[in-house]
Amino acid sequence: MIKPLLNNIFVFLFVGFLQIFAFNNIRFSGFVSPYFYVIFILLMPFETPGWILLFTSFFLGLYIDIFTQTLGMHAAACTFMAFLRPQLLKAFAPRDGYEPGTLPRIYYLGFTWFLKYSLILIAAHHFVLFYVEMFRWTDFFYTFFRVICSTIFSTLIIILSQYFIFRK
Amino acid sequence: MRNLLRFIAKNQFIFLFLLIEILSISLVIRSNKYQQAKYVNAAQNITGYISQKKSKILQYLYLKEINQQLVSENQNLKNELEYYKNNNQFKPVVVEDTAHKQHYSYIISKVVNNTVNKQYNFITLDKGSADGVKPEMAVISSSGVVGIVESVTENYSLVISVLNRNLKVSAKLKKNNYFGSFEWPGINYRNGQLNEIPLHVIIKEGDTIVTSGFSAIFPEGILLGYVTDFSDQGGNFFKINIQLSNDFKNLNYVYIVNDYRKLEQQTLESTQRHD
Repeated sequence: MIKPLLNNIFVFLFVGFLQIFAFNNIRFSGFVSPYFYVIFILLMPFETPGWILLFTSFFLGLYIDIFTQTLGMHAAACTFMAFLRPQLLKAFAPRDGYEPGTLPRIYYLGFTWFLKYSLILIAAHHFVLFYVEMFRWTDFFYTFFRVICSTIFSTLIIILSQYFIFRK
Repeated sequence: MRNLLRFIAKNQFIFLFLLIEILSISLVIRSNKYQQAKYVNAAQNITGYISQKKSKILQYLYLKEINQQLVSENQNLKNELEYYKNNNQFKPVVVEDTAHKQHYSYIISKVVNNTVNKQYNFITLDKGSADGVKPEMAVISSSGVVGIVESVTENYSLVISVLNRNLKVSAKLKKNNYFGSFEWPGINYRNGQLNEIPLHVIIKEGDTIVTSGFSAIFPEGILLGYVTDFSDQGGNFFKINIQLSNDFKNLNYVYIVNDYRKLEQQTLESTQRHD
């Protein structure tokens, strides 16, 4: 009981650390930036209760916010993403449900399933994040373009990471 | 009640989500300067619009008083005109470019929202940046000082009322030009206070207090109020209580003062050395 919890806390801190010190420094052509840390929300077990999901996501966002001086923006985006997750899992479930003991990863559910799942959630996260950052409707399409570019980039990195660090 | 609780329990996930999301957004607005400015601007526009609609309806109830005010102001202006005519000081001249000769110009504006019962009162006016209003302009009415413009949106401006404990106005005694600092102690909307008048100055009840014009915001000699009583509080200065000439409860039309020479004065004063 204690071991997975400690393990999760370690992953939580590690993912945020990686985002703050590595991925925040990547800027492709000035505005495309990967938000790798949302992988923590993607990879939480299927059985996670709703309130734990929401609170963990909120604090994960807040954790990033504190280090990037954007208090509340990542928190809002992560909470929205966590809100969509259960519905999406329900919609994408295999015919006889998810097997107990499995996790939402490529290793268990295949590449196509994970691509669909992560692409939608990451897009939702980036959408909220970028529009809260802009906070106005002028330049709507420019922001939208940024959302799409960053989504593709983040998804790419998260899928690649599935073959290296978060395999099982 | 039980049904309501059951409803909340059933949809707890959605309610929790909404709660946390509202918390996040309020964090964004509270702690990020840019988002805060956007939010305040939008909120001001909306409340300004509603207040304007409200005051458009209420305005009819005050038409009689407004008329009286305008008539009495007209009378004063006419008297002044006669005085200058008879003293041969009035020379009608045509000036092609008025901007460089004129010291002040006035923008008339209507009060759309006003409070008097708080410690920090503000007034909303229905003229904004589109009409040439800028922050730090003075606002006066026919019976005296009203406040200073704090911020403007396109169609509205927010004025720090004289009835705001943060506002200090440089004021003087009209009869002998001794100047001090006027502030509102926050107790009664009809009374203010003048400080920093030295003890050797002779004051009587009923003396007139006007603005000194030192701060480059208010023109000189705008009426503030009349001395009601004064006391020696120890130290070197009087504490003078003032009855305000303006009745802030029925404020309706005001003038926003545009000072053409303000920049000039401020640039000059900023060159003095602060050793």
